[in-house]
Amino acid sequence: MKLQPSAQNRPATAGPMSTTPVLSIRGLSLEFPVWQGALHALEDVTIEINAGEIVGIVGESGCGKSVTAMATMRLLPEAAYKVTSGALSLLGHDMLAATETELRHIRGSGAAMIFQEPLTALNPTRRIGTLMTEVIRAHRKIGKKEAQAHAVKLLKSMRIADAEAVMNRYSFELSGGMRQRIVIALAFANDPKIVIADEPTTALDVTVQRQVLTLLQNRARDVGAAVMLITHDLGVVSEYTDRVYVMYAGKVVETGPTASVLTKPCHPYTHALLAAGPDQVAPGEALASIPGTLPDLREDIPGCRFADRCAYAQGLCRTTPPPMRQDAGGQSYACWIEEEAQA
Amino acid sequence: MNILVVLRRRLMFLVLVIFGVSLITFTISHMIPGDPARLLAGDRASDELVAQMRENLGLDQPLYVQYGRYIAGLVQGDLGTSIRTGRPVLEDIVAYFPATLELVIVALIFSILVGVPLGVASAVWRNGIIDQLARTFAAIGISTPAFWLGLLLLVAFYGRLGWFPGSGRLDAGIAPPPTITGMYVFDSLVTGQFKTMINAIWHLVLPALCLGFVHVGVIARQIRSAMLDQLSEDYVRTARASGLSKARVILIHALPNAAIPSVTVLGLAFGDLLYGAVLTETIFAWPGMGAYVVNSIQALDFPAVMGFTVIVSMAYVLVNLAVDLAYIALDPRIKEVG
Repeated sequence: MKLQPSAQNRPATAGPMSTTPVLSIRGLSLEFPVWQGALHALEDVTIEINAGEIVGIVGESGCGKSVTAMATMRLLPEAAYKVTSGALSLLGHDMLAATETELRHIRGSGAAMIFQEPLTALNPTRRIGTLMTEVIRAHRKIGKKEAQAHAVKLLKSMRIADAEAVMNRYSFELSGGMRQRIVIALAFANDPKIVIADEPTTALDVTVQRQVLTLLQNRARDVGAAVMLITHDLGVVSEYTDRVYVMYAGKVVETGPTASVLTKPCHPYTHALLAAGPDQVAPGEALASIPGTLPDLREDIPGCRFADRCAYAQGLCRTTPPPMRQDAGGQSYACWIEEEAQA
Repeated sequence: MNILVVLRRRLMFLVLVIFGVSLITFTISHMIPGDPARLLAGDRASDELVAQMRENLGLDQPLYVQYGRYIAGLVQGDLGTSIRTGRPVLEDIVAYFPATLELVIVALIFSILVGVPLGVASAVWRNGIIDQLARTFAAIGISTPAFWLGLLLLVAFYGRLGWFPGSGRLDAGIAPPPTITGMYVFDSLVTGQFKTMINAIWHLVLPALCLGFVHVGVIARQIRSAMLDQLSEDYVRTARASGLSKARVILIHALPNAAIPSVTVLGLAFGDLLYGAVLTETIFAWPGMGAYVVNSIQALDFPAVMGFTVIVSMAYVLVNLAVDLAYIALDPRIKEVG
């Protein structure tokens, strides 16, 4: 994999770590009650995102990255889950205790969200203009005309040329890339401090993907919004993020500046993930893959969750969960094995 | 394809339906044993008189000739002459149909007003108390025979409590409003006779309740499942993530979309209500088409029964045409209708 950490040539808009993070998830454990037990979807997850930072959350399907995003906005169906420990603070609001009214003020205003499926993310029977002015006016006391003007401006900032015409269209009349740009415009409608993007380009084709992500990145830098970019694509992580969290089976296994995590991964899972990239093998050869499958999250896993699939697992790995260890470069990882032991 | 093309196509379809319906009812009604001429002439009439009667009514002709005559009349808007009342069937229908239509419309409004909120509440609080009650209510509604419910309503609210009148469209002392549509509530409202209007509404309560009861459950179930579909859609999540209030997401985003498939059910319900009215009108002595057709059947009054069938079929086709047009109005995705 060709890793080009672009962090160096980026203007340091984020500046030094500010004192209050826009998002702070501390030791969050969350489970979904299922028949005769519970599915431990998140286990002791700690994620922090500072103002203006673009942070990647990466991992394979079922690792808990989407659950984290939904939990952050308190969008999981209330009856379906239980937080067993930890704290979640978004823009200084305790999201676990927030009332419906508080949530309404936070969502779509200070914190916005972009979902995976642009094809279905917009109400098909309402015009784009109606959808946009509705969200704008839900958070600002302004008239219809003013809201429309603002909506047109937002669309134009997403490089939508005939913004006025698009206002009168329905989502099903537009292309996937166009819809996702509208969804992003919608997310930036009320000057968010943080945008949570859950696989925003997975449903789009590769060329459109780049355009959309670049638009998202530029827009976030322009207004100084932080971005939580959830993806399973390490290429996206390396190109667009400042820092990254690698998740596996509901746990954060490694985190640090994107460049260093991707060039010198400390956790065997990150290592294996990088080795499984399609550009790691010569054309014609079989793709590398990580043997085994995700553990059953309904079971209590005493040790490291990756142990069963790890080439380096020892006795301790299967009995005691590894603590988070930090190295000098600001990189942390949860593993019992010393770096040197890994080949 | 535009609306005019849809209209033209449907109206041609209407002609076919009426032809088919008239053929079937004609065949069936003439296969029923019994001789309307003898029935009309009376038990002690001579055979000559009956034969004369039969000739006058055209019943001595071969079936295909009779049918040909009927169709020839039909295309000119002539539904024949009622054997029982001796008046043109169309005149009778114009006199009786508005009462039925009024009852059906009020019953439909009642079932929508109760059924839709019930369905929405059931979907929003899925498996909650309201949902359980609504489901029980729907099951009861669907399995309750109208004649039994009608009698129950009469015994309770007319007999015991005396809250509502038990028969007719107006109290004896009140004159009907001038005929505009023949629907008393509408006519008295338009002409400003509010006392008459209140009285007409009062008379509508029990029959409409009886007739609409089944459809409350049908509509609630339909809305519930359509709402559950919509509430699990991604756009609902987007709306919630944008900070829109729960009420707004449910009522302004999800409900209109859930209403689209539910409109079909309303079209079908309308047809059911028209036929259901026959029984309800008999129970509540409602002077509408139902009572008219029951009397006509008993008198073997073929032209009247066929006229009723043709008119009801026409209304059914027209309502379903309205349903299709409503689709076009409600759902911007439908630009072309095949």
